[in-house]
Amino acid sequence: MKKGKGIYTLILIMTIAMLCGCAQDTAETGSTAGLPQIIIGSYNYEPYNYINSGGEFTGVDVEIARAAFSRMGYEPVFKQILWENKDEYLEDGQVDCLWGCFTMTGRENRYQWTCPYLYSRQVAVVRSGSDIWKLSDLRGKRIAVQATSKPETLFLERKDKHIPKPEMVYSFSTMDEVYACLRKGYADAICGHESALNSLIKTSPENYRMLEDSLYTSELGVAFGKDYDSDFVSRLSEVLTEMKTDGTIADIAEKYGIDRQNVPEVTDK
Amino acid sequence: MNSDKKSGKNRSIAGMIAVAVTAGILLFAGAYTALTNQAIKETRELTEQTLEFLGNRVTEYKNNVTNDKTKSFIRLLDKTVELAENIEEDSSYGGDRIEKYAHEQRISGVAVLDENLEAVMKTTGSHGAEFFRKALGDEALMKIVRYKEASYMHRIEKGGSVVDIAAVSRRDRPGAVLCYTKHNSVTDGVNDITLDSMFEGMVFSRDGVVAVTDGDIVLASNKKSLMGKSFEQGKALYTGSFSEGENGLIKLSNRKGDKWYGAQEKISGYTFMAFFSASEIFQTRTIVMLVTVSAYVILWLVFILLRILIRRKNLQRAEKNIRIIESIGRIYTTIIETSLSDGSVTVLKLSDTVKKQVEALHNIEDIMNVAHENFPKEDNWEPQREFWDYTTLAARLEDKDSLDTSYRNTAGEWISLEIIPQHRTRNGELETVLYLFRNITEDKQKEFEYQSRLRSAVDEAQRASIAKTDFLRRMSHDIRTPINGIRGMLEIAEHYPDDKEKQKECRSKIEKTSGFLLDLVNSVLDMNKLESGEIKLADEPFNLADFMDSIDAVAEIQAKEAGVTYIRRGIEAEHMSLTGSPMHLRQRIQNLITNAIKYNEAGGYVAVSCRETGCSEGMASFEFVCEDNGIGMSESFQKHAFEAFAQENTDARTLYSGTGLGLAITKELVEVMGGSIDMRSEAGKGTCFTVKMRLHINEKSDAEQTEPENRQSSIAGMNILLVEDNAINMEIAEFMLEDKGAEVVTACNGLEAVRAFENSEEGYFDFILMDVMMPVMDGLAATEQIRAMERGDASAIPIFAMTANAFLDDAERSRAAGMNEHLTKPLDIDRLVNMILKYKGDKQI
Repeated sequence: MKKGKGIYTLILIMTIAMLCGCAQDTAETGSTAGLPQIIIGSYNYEPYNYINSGGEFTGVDVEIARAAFSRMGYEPVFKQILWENKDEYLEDGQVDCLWGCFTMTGRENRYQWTCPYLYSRQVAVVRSGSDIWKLSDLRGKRIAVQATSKPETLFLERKDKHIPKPEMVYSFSTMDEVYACLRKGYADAICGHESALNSLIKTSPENYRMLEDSLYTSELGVAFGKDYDSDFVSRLSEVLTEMKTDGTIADIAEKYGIDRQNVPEVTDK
Repeated sequence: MNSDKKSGKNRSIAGMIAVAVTAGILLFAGAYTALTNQAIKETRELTEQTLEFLGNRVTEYKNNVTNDKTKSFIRLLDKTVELAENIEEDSSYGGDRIEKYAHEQRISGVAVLDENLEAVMKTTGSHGAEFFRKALGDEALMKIVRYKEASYMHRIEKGGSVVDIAAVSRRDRPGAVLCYTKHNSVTDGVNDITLDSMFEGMVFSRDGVVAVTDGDIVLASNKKSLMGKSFEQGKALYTGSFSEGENGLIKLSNRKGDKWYGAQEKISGYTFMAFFSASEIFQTRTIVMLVTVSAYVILWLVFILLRILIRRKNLQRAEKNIRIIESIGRIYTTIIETSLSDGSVTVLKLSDTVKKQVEALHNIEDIMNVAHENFPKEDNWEPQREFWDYTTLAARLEDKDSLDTSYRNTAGEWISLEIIPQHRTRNGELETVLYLFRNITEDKQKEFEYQSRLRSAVDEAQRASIAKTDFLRRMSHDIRTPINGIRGMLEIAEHYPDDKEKQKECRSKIEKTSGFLLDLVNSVLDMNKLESGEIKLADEPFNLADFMDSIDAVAEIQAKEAGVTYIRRGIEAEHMSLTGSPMHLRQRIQNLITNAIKYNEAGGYVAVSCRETGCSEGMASFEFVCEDNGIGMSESFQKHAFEAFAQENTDARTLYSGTGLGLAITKELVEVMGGSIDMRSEAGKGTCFTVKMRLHINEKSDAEQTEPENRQSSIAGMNILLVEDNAINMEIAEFMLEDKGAEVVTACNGLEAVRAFENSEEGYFDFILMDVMMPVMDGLAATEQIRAMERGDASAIPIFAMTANAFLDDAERSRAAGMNEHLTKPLDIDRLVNMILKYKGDKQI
């Protein structure tokens, strides 16, 4: 009888263990309810801040913001705003900060900035067989870009001396047309934001190559109103520095096709 | 105990069912969850693959479309550049040329703008500066105006028509050159691939439904019902939130209640959707669950069935064992299991006699003390104490299967105590033993009885051995004594050859002494016959009066000789004609009378009477009394009076010359004949023997019995054939027969006898007297030959056997050979004559 009981117990334990194993698969992490909220103003811009097919905010900025505020004990609330009216939102206090692939360069004094958490790079992509290797090789070449984009300005205005003079700059309304241009060989190179071009290369890595030198690099930061609690801003800066150091930001960026080297180096203050 | 067992069994079955059900539910829940997860996971993978497939197909399509579009753009751009260069080269390039170029290049319209974006040249009937400024924006146009490398290509789709625009810098001066082509967007070519037909009729596994939408309308789907619908309309066909559940899948159901699982994905402006039928997704789960449930139930049923069967079998076996053990246990009155570690006990069986004393005890030592109390004080308890001691049992039972002892308690019962090992630990150490008690009083009694029987048997054998030695000693003495007498008398006779008186006295004494010798031999033979049960009683008619007369006649002579008065008390009887064995009866009564005379003194008397005491069933009871006033017997001798060779006074032997066998034979024989013998005696006063006997009444008339009266009374003149090998015996017999007047022919052996008979005339011989043991041919063979002869007298002639062998089988053998009578030597001539006459008489009648 004792032996029999042992067998039953074993069966029970095994069954329960199996169930527990199954239950773990479907377990959910708890919510962050009850934490003070920080309202983040942004606009739809892949891959930094966009709403995925499930209707949720997602992207590089969203994930970095979630991680950072979670460390600080706040709950981020994302709000898409008319980007043109961003300053009014800040002044009204409708949003606490602006966080959406926002370039610090040239706007240094208009806002209270955190430290830069990422670089945003404009790069050039050629076909694998191309003999273009450096930026200077683009001299006298046909370059396709999206109309009104940063690279278009760079190549037309050529204020930076590193940017060579192309034969022609083909401007298209959409990036799809830019890609088609490279695909069909109408252009020698195409230029655009690193993350977008990386996603192109991902579709067929054997056909395309990104030039190592970037055309242009800007620093991305989080902008607060001038009279916002500066302690909070510097605390966020510290957390972001922490996240740069421990690789959290690099990991997140890489997920969205942004090279790890875009995480700014942490320098001693 | 039984009910306990039963309820325990029920409990175990209930427990088993509870476990089976619980385990079953847990197992099924587990399996269900696992299978669901698996199905969801598979569906997720399938959804991903499908969405990827959709994305790839749409991307491919889009790429083709874009490629085509870009091709048109570049072609248009090249034409525009060429136009700009033409204008640069030829400053007079004006309206007509442009018109012509546009026509040649199939360009719908051309416009040349100055740095203020004002049209300076344009094809007639085509769009002007406003159109381009609106289409491309001033900012973009200004870039073209300002930078020579700049260019811009753009498409406007409106109302089914497509307008492609290309803009480049004016080469000769600030400004822009713009061209556009216009065509209808309606595709009518067979080879045209369109988005809406991309998935038409496609069949996806798991009954999958796919759709591609730009957010407004359904662009493509494999379900016709969805095609052309707006996104919202399409969504409205299903209920359920279009957001992913915990499992990463969107769950929908249609109006019919069918369920669908799937996902949507936004890729570059398109939303892709793929949904799969729940019944298809979970088909495997359904089947596996069904199979699992059935298998599980069957498994348990088999398991339970097996358990029940095994249990029943075990139970039967156990019951059988218990029955066996109980039957074995019945032998023992008390069974006590004892632990060797501390002497604690479990009483398995308790006899009623010790129940009260032992019931409350828990240690073997206490029980031993009870046994000690019941142990006789005078007996030595110490060996018992040592036997009981449980502490030494392990050592004592090391190489033995059991220990046993027995003792008698104060109640006089014999108790057997056995100690047997009951349980050993795995390493062979003895853990418990059984103390088994048994009442063996009966066995012991039997044993004692057996022992005493054995002892008496040994005593008897010793006595018999002593008796035999004694017998031989007495025989040598008793035989030697008369032989001495005979030889002594012969010597005296020799000494006085002429003294006739002396001679006669000597012969008389020889005859008397030899008679005693013959008596002795006869007695011994009779004794032997009696002891071996060989005695054959006759069943012949006789007359009681004659019988008593013959006894009295002999007794009177004996009494006279001894100087004792013999008193005939006579017969008081109703039945005189009887049947039985008168010879034996006579011998025994005569023996009593002889003893009474012998152990008497001169002047004493012996009185003999016969009385019938009753009759029934053809039998009459008689009482023969022989009374004397002789020397009597001492009380102590009376006890042994009927034993062989018992004689009270050894002196009496010489004086009274008895064999010491008479009374023993009498008692034996009387008892063999169904009678009894009684004795009253007092030393010096006399003895009285009473023989009680039942005899058959002869129903035939006495007259028939009287015929011997008519017989011839002499054998004178008869011719007798005498066959005898011993010369002396021959001489004696011949003398005696001739003395009676018979004519005797002699033969020395059987063969001679046969010849003599053969050669005689028929009827010559009246008689043949035939010795049995002879050389050449013995008497038996000779008789057979004579009887086999073919002559008238061969079978009729009386042939009498004469032999020294008195045993019964000899008589039988001689009768079987054809002889008529069997006579023992020495021959009693009177008896012989009587017998011959009887035969001759029979013959004559």
